[in-house]
Amino acid sequence: MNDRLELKDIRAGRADPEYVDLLRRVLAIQSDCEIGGPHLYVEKMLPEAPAKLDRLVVARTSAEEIDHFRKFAVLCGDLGVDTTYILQRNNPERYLEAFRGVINTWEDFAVFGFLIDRVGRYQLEEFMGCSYAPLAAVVEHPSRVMDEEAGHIDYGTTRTAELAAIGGEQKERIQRSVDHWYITGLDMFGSSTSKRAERYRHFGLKRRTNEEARLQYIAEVEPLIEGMGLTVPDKTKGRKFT
Amino acid sequence: MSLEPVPFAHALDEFLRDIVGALHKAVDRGIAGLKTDPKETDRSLADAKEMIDTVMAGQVEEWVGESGPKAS
Repeated sequence: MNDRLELKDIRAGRADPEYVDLLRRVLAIQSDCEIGGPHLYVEKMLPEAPAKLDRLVVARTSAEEIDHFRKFAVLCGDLGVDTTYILQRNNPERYLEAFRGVINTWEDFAVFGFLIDRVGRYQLEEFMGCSYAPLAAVVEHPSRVMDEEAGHIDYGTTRTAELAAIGGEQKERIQRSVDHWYITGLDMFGSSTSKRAERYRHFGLKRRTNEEARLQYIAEVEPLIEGMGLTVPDKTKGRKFT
Repeated sequence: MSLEPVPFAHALDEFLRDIVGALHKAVDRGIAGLKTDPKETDRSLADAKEMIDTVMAGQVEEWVGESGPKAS
């Protein structure tokens, strides 16, 4: 499927009902992930980040994620998906495992930016040039969404490298965070045999298979982990999806 | 599957757009205050926390008025 659809096409019934169903689903999940970030870290990290500048970065990151939520939520609303439940649900009810807990430590906040926001970038890249024009517009120039996500990733990567470079117990703590979030991140790409993922690709809502995206992520991330003097975690340990 | 637009979606969009704009201004004030006025940074952080807490509370009914979701 190569045609790019607008909202008016869907309203006029020119889209396959399965396409509309998948589109509504992916928009709801993306909205949930955008607002799920601040719900994970803001309660502890906004008051407890190491320095005032770090606290301001937490606030700015939250502002940008709320804005990303807003952009996906309005697309949901146009398609009849009420996102109130996403704004009101508790963390354990979030769509993805990565957003179901609470971030209590600066190490976890740093590694979340380094590894999980990076998975988020892969997900958002899927929408560039996708078959639903309003969705593509959220991530394509002149939208700032991809630049802002890159900023979150850079900040997390820099803080992770700094904490690793301290050595000793600090390095052990950051290694534990990497051990946890790397496995969580790999699972975020979903099952390599997912039939739904194939339907997303069939309808032009995604470009890569789950496995292709996961392998690209691994190729990008592992040299970074090693470059920080950290150990790449066992990719098979604790995984839910392969 | 209803494709009827959510009646308050654009009111929610406006509310969040305003909050995000105010949050960015608070952060900018806070960063400017780091060198010259630490108390201004503290005030901006307190303002930012209040705004973020508002969004985290998710009280959509209060944000969008009568067009909003009905409490169950």
